[in-house]
Amino acid sequence: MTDPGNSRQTVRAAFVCGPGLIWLLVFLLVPMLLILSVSFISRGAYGELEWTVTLENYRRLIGFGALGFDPLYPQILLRSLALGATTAFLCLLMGMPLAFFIARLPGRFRAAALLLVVIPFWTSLLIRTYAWQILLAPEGWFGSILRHLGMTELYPGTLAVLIGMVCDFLPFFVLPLYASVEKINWSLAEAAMDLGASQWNVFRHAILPQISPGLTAGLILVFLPATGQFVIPDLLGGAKTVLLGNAIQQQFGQSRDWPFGAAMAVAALALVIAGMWLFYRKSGQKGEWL
Amino acid sequence: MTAPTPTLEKYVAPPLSGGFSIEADQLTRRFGEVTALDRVSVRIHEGEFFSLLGPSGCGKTTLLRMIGGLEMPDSGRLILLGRDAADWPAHQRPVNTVFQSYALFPHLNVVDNVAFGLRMKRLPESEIHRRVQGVMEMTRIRELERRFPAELSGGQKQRVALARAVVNEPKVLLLDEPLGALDLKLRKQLQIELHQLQRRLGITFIYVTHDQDEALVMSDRIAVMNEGRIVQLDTPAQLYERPRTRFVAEFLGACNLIEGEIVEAASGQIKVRSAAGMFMVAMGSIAPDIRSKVTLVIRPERIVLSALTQSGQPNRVSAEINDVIYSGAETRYSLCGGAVPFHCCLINSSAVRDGFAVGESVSAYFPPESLILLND
Repeated sequence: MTDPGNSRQTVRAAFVCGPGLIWLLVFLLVPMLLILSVSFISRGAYGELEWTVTLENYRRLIGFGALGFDPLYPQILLRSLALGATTAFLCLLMGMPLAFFIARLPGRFRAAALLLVVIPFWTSLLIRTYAWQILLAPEGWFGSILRHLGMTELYPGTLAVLIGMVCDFLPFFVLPLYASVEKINWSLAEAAMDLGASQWNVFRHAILPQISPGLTAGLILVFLPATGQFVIPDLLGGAKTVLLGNAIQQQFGQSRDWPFGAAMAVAALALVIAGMWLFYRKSGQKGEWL
Repeated sequence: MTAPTPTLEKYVAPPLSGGFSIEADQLTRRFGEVTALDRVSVRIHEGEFFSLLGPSGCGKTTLLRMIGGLEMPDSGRLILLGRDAADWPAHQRPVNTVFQSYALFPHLNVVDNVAFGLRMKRLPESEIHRRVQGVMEMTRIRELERRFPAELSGGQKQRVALARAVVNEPKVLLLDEPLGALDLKLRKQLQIELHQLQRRLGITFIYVTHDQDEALVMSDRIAVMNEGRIVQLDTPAQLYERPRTRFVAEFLGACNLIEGEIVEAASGQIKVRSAAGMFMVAMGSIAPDIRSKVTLVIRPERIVLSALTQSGQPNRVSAEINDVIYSGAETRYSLCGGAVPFHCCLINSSAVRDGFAVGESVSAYFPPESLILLND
């Protein structure tokens, strides 16, 4: 069964794919396995790792720690998921019309519009977020306009956080969706209309299945990082709320409780994977979402 | 010209009774600088197989899309089934389309594609099932029902597209070059099937094509279009036998064009002088104008060739055979008579080859009733 041509191909494939695979193996898979194993051991009195296997970290995570029931950590988790979901939803609401608008622009304007969407990436996230802080602050010009209009202050608060989040994540939603929208076969929409479909049904049966891949990619690209995001909530929300991201950071940092931090990270990952699996299974092969 | 030649009458479709499916009045549509449709008026009978024939960009698809409601006229009026179509949205018109690209929904299998229109109408599932099965039987796609469009051949997709439209029992079925992407043999077969289907359903078919054979084979009437206008509307036989313009003559089938000048017009006949000789032509609808330049048309198969006997008589041209092309059912000759090149086509009606050879001198007879005087 040793075909020389075939084995030569295998060698070549190994050369091409090898570096990437080794990189992922060493710097992603191994650390993740480490995190997974650390999440099942205990913390010593001085924050060192004690190699005794325990489920204590996970028990504490779902609220049943050594000091009795405390919903703090489930709350943090839910709060983070809610932030991710809200951000994804707002991006969907605003990004969908934007992607369609750009895709239907004449060719020369399309490139310019896409450039405008990407431009925020040219500045660092921190600088952009600080810029929002200045704009939205009560003495900032946007904030003062709102104050003069008699509206409540945005900063620091949930609305400011969402403004910052959507601003940061919108391109991640718009770009993959645009790629799908641009490829839409509009004759399918005409066929649906011809067969008696109302506008809503044309969208649902002729457009949505076509943009389903881009929509899924966009939502995932927003939801996942938004769930773990904590810089924007910290800077625009007034550092009052603990989210998954900063909770994990705290455990590995100030609290020196690596096993608990690892358990939190693993739990978050497991939840996300489960969620994605359900999502894919539902939106899956047929592309019929609704 | 006296009455149309009696042979023509046989091919003319039976007179259509009833009202009109389509009454278009001065429909105009512009796309930027281009006028896609230029004051087109046409009336299409109920139950008629009507073809829009013309080169690409002649406006035939625009007219079809207007009837389907996918396009709106800039001016003019469209009456669809006796009702003004201006405020009649596409999805409510009892009109369905078979698209050129088929436009089948790729994420639905054949049954769901066919059932789409009925589902949109929210019919009970039992009725949907019954009607879908019936139509799939009729279009012979029963065995494909679980397949997805990507798994179908061109001909199968075409049948599914047809079934998906017909199942809705539209009053008017629009077909936008539905056979364009298929190979010749399949196309011929489906032409006949479409024609039979239309007779069976008895609904109006409006068929867009740039293929003259297709239009001739299937249609009751054909509107030949060019540059946004209908240049001639007639039965297939009339269009072929009595083209009114050079464009129609050349677009439908092969033809010989003879340039000449009218020298005499009397007793229902016109005498035309050309480089090839004198021709007597039956007087048509146009009033002959002595000395005016005219163009005569004759179909290649109407020229009668015989061994050279006499010459100098009207409608008889001494010619030399330049080329002979044998193509099975017929033999085509390229000739040159009086410095005028022309083509002739003889049906090989017997196994004995009694044709002519290259270089042979022959006498070509152009029967007066087969010569057509063009309007332009």
